[in-house]
Amino acid sequence: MVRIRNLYKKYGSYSVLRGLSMDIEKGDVYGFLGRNGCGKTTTMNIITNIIPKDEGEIIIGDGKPVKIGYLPESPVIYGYMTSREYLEYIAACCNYDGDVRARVNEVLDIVGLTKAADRRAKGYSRGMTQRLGMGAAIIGKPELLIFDEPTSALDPEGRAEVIEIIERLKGMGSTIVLSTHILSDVERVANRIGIMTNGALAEQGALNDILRKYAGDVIHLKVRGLTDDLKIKLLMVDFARAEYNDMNDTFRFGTDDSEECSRRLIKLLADNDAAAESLKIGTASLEEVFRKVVGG
Amino acid sequence: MQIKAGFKKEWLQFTRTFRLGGILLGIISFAFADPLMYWGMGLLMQAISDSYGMIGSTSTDIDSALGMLFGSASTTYSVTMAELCSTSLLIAMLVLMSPCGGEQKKRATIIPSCTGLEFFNYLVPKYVLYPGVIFVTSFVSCCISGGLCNLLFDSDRIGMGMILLGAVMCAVYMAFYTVVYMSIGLCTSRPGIVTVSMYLGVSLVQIILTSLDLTDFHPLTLRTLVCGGMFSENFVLADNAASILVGIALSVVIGVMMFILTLTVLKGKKINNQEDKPEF
Repeated sequence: MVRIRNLYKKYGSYSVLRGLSMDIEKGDVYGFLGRNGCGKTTTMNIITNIIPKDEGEIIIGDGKPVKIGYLPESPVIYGYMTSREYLEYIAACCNYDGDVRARVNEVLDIVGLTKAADRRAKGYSRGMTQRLGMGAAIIGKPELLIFDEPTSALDPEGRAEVIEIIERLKGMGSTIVLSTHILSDVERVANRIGIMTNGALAEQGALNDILRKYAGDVIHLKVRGLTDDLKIKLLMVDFARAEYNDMNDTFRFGTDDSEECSRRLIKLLADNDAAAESLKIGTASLEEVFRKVVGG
Repeated sequence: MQIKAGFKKEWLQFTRTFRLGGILLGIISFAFADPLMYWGMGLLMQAISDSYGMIGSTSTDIDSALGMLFGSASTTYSVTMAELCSTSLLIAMLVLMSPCGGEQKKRATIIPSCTGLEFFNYLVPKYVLYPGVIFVTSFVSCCISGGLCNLLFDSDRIGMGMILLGAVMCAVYMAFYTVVYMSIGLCTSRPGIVTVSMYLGVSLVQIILTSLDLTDFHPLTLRTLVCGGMFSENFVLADNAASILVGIALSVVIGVMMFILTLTVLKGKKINNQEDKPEF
């Protein structure tokens, strides 16, 4: 859907993008990650033709024009219009050829603004403005959606609502580029991620593959009959990186081979007359991966 | 479809944000305020003059001076026109800052542009609505002012034909000025700076043109005439008819050219990052 090769952009003498290459496939929810100022917004502004590139190649779609829906970080909505009027205006801007009224109602429903549809946007909360911005981005049924930090500066409730909308759009098969600092949101909705550092992608791929690649699996173990001696033995195991959480009396083992690690842990417990109260295998969090990749 | 939606958007912006109210108040109020103020001042001065007479002083000279200052319909009408062409225009510029580049500055046009809004369709409603409303409002305001001046003052009354001609000239000048302001504002996205520059710039341009003896056959001629001697007794319309007609025609032509220029500038700013191939 989107192919970017060797993209360069300078602001004065400062190089923001230094040979960025990235691929976004159709149907992807692509988590676009990176520290503040690493060039995510610049990249999205270049894709959406808001600012010019210096060098590089951008191919969107298969040669045919592709409709793009864009939600800037702080969308500026015409406050004198109601949601309905604004969406009707945007539908006209994208030359929507279907039943505009029906589409507007559908979008209002998707973004959860049906009740506030006839209120002027001037009085909207930040979350409502953000949702209206999302509505404007999706009304023309674009093939590609670009959301620049849609959950930043929202309260937890507003954030949850926005992520819910993204999940709904994902279910509809939309291709979405999602830039955000809230990694748990990315873990929840994205299937592929790209981590940007120093103006280029340091890592790109399927979320699960990257989680596995950088942090492997994680085993959470709670022990029945734990003694101080056994605790020391578990923390000293040489086949995994062990941590102990006093708050919930749980061990956390980082490993590349969860099966082998679990087998050896159970054997160690048995040898010490103890047993596993609970043993859960999962993958490491994206936050850990992010820190490793960007070197934080 | 985009133009129709654009008209609706501009109309909502105009009517729901006190812009229309501001324009009406800023332009129509002068039609009433100036004649009434001069009439009131005339009455006041007359009362002072009478009281001089009552204590035995001669008031002939004062009466004569008052007659010239506050008793003439044509003088008051010219003063009102001058107010319309300066103060009212400043109010109009301030009120129209948002649609004339302000919304671009605030980046409110990003979402519509990204969804496919064409610049032509974006500009047409603005160039029809705002100068149109300014034209109509100014015309009505001038007519009210002319009628009021004739009603309140006895001397130098203005003929209906001259009132209408003056109203058309003033309205054309104000619409022309609005188009120029809008064009520069939209091209630069800096309506605040443009407002100040144009308010000061028009006087400067007029001084330069006058010093070069270029007082006829251009849009500023309209302003000079309606604010100057157009309504005096020794004004001969036939001598100035050509200059007025050329001034009106040039205002329209320059207005259309400003639209084309703005469209070209905005289109020139349009970016398509997919067009170029990499240069390695």
